[in-house]
Amino acid sequence: MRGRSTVVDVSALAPGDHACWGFASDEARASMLAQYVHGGVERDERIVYLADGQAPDAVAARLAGAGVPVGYLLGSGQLLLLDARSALAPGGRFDGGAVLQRFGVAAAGAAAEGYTGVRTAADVGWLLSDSATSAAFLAFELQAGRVLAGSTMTALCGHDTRRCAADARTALAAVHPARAGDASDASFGAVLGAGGEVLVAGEVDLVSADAWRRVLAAAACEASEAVTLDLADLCFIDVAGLRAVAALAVAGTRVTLRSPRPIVRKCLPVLGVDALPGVEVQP
Amino acid sequence: VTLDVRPHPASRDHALVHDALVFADPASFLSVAVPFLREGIAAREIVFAVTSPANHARLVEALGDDAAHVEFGDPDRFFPRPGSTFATYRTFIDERLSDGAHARVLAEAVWAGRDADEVGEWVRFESTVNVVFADAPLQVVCCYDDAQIPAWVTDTVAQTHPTVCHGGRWDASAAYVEPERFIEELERCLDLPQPPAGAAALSVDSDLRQLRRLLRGEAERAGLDGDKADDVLLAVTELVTNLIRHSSGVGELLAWGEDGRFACELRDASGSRPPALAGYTALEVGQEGGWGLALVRQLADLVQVSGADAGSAIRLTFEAA
Repeated sequence: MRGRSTVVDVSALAPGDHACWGFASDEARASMLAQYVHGGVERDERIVYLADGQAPDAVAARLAGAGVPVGYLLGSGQLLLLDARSALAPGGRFDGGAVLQRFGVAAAGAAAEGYTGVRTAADVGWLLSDSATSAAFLAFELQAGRVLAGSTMTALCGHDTRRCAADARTALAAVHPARAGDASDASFGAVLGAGGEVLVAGEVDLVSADAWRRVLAAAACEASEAVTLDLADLCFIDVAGLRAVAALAVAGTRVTLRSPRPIVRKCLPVLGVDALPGVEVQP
Repeated sequence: VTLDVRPHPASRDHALVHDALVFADPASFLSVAVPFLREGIAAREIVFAVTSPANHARLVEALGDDAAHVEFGDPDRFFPRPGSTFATYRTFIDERLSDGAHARVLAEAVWAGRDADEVGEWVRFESTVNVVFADAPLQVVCCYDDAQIPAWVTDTVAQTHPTVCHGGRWDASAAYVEPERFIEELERCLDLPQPPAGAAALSVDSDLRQLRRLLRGEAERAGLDGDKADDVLLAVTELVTNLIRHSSGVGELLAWGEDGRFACELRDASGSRPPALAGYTALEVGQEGGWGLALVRQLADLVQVSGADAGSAIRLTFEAA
């Protein structure tokens, strides 16, 4: 069953993996990053770290302290340390499509240089602070999951839990199939399916309400006119969660609810969600 | 028996008329019911009668050929419980009365076989309809068989119906109470029987996932099937969410099975209660509150709100069968 995220050991992350990573101190960040880099060295991958809140030099020093041969890796070009904001949002604007394109170019470049793949870690918490960027970034995360699957790329999306709102942390965890460190244990998960539909799993209630709204905003941003939510693995959703879905339809997005379980389906007529123009329920 | 024939409320074409008839015998029932239905037939209204089987038979006989113009409903289907009766009425209004049609309904809820808890909720229903369907083009006469209904219910009829026919005379009810105030009083006076000693006490906090897991176990132990247990999880999640969102967040949840039923009682330590009419009115997309309670009222077989001095409580009852 598709489900919520599982806890992983970052050194064991392999091509195609997409994990959410939370850290609560610079030491914790350096130590987990060191493990991730080790895994990349063993696989002979190019390793890219996009740092935020800490200069690349400071990161390098901490990695060296954690036993990573930073000087050698930087000198050989196997490790790249970059500033996350200028790499992901040049000019202050995040463009998910452009970032995905650069991922592709980076993967091709790494392959041409003889690496087996590209292993990226990035600090992304700052992309969740305002709602428009949050929607665009989470939409990118949904896309990235699909692009990564079956590719030679690995991605670890980090955030400083001290500087990230609870609902932002939950939303970030929800769009990743795996989590590491202090990443939230989101009660629900959302990944993009082969047909562009959002596969929703787990439970949505009071605790995840705000994160759920963020993910829905991302789904609507991803496909601005029509969203398909595959609810086959959604075990529970409360009234507020369904009202958020209804709000999408009211705002003009066509919403298809596919395969809702009985516990979800029985609420739809009571709340009038199934009768809204723009909402289609498929068994 | 003299019958004051009131003028047809033409000036109130799009407003509910909700009257009550308290009758002592079949003759006094028929003396009001038959002309009421015939007026509707003559005016080409939709004419509906939901009564006890005995009164159904009497009406058919008394109406003769006119009976063909009356739609007769089965009280078991129309009045299984207050929550779904609201939905039935709403569907009827939406489907049948949207094009300017007017309907009259002769409604006799069957009181035999209902326990005190259910009867109390029907009394609440009678008051609530005055607000919920205030704008509906419906003329309803609720029929109360004096011999069948508890005395305290008879006393409430004049409080819940603006006009009452008693002993053959229609009178504006001086005792009528605005629903909000009536319900608040009803809740204040409702003294719920103590749960059994073996009731499970479940902790109420934001870990609703864990709460649902425990609750499903309790519900299934009490004999509820998976579908009914789903109703329990949905309804209780909304109650606890309301407690956390709109009240103190401090309370306790008791759950127990008894006589083929499963009951959950959420006690609110702050003593606050949801607004008397929350969860009844038709839901509008932009409407802020009341959605959770609307779901609760649809899913639970019985919803009781008690505001006794010891603190407030909402008790939900689910039938196992």
